[in-house]
Amino acid sequence: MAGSRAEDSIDYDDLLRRLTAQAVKLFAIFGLAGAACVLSGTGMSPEDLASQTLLKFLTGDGINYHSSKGPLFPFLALVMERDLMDMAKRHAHSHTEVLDPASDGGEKDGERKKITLMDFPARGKTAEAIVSEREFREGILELVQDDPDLQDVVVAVVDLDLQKREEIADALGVTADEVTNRKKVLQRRLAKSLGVERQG
Amino acid sequence: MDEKEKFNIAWKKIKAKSDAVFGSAEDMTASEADRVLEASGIDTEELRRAAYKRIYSAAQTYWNAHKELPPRLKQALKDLRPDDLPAQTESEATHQAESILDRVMRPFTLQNVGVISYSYRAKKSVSSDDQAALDRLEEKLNRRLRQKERSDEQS
Repeated sequence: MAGSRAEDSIDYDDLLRRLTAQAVKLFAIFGLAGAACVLSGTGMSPEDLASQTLLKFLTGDGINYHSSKGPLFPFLALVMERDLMDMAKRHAHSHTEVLDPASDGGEKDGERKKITLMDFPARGKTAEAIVSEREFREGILELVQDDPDLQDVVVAVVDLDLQKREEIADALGVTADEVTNRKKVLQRRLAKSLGVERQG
Repeated sequence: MDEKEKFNIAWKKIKAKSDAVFGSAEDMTASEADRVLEASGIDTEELRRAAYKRIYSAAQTYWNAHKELPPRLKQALKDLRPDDLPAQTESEATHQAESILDRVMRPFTLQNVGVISYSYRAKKSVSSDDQAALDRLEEKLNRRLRQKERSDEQS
């Protein structure tokens, strides 16, 4: 009964916006967005992923939530992340072949070779690249190259392996609140990087 | 360890680091979400409209099968319905009006009404009909306050 009363107060508009923002982060972190900002091989955008997760919750399809499982939003964010991980894995490309236009794309012995969709190289990332720590590090450092304060946070986490806010604050000689503020700036920069790709 | 397991472990490792750099799901407040959406160029009205369309389409499968909508689905349809979407049935029109009113009235509760003023009683110009109407209104408001108190106590 307590659970259903709690659910009465769910603000679905708010939930949708938070899920979408979280999906934007996931797409940007794992570099999953292709040129059209959709997951390669699925056509799925962060907005699609968020509304799909919300719909699963609304219909109870594959999501069995009860208030005893903790707050709703982190629970749904985890479900969404697992779905994305599964899709990324399924649609990641194990290798990319680049065609030699002289031999495959053009004419051969006076006869035009028939080209099928299978002849075009996939644009998506490989599974190894999606979870490559090196690519992750390079991507984040590129994001903060003009801001030494943000660089410090990235280095503390990625290179020194510090994860707790207080640990990072100690290492940088700043307050824990300052670390939180820098994280928020980082998060918006990450989202902006995806926005630039969408517009481009 | 197979490829799938390796992928999962590597994903989780990067996710832990990204949570430490950018914040975790627990840190995604409503206002922060709005800033992220704005930064990424997502129009929240368009987002709501697209989500509504998807949810409406799911609801249709229930309607076509003459099945009752799951309560969460029903509520989300009401919450996410775009204000400018014309109602197709009387029931939809009622839902739409309720939804708009809910959103407009959300920040206010009966507790904010405070104490009912009785100053009209001092006015000599109030007719007996007006007096009866005011008394009915007073009774109605008191009844709603009592209901609200009871529901607050229960919750």
